[in-house]
Amino acid sequence: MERIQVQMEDPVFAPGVIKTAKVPIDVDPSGLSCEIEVFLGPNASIKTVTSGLKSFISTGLLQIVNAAITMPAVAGASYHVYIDLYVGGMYLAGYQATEDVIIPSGSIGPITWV
Amino acid sequence: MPQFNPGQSKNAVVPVTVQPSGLSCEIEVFLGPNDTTKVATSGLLPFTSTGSQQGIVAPITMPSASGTYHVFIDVYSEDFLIAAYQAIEDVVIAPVGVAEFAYVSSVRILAEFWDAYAGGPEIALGVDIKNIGTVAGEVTITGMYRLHFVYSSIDRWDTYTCSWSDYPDPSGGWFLLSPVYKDLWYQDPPSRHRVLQPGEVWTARWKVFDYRNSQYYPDELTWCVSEAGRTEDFVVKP
Repeated sequence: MERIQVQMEDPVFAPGVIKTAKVPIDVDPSGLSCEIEVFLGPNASIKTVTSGLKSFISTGLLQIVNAAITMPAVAGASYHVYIDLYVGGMYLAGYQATEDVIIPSGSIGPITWV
Repeated sequence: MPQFNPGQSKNAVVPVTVQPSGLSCEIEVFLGPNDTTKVATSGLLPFTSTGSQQGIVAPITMPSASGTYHVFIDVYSEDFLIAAYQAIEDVVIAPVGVAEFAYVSSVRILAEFWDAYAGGPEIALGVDIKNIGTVAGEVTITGMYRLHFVYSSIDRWDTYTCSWSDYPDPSGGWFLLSPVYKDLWYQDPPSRHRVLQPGEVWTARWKVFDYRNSQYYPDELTWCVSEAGRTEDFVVKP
């Protein structure tokens, strides 16, 4: 199943910080037992960091599901953001954010004064 | 350890590597006793990361107070502090140097001459001037003079008094002083100026009395040397 592109903002984070992804989800009908997983990685099969499965009950309306995730410790790289949605234990849909999460790194060499 | 003058404008060239490329970044270089007290700062300077090392120029005006300051560098990306560095070497702000001169001898007669051309006696005077300041500076013998002449002639005694005058200005009459270039000709090299290093002593020398008539000879002379706005009188009795 091909992943669906989903928009995302504020993609730059410091390494190792805990951020909460607020994912707007609309699952119909209501009352279904659902799970969501947000993970970062170079591709959909390598989960560098993940929120783990977050359970929720569908409301049949747009609802916000929070997925706390610790950013990768390795800086100087960008990571794709994936969201997998499960309903009743079955994989329902896979999403990829339009923007990557960037964990910047910085280093400084010797200063010269002129 | 880099040493600068108070208030001096300098550029810190900082090799910065931020990855990945294309990020909106800012850098701040600041000086202070610690990383929370910014005595002098470049302010936040924006740049875009290239993913490889790039030289960022951070202009900074040195603190006005002398002392030793740590150098800190903060790099931000998207408002996140991604690198906080302290330079291994501090910056030293040197105190403002002052060249100060003092006479370290009285005026003394160095030599006496007989000026065949002028047909009269000349004396060479000298005084030792020392740089008691902390930096090199130029001392100038400005040549203000005041003369109180008491001379005897063959057939009469008389007294002439000369008021303050600028040095090259001849006093008129028959007791003309030599023009300034001649009076300072005795210097080697002839100059009214000399750059003195801290602690260095210079013997400023000049000639006086280019007599036009050998029958007149001064009994007393008050000579003044001035430099750097100060004057000092010397009484010379040749």
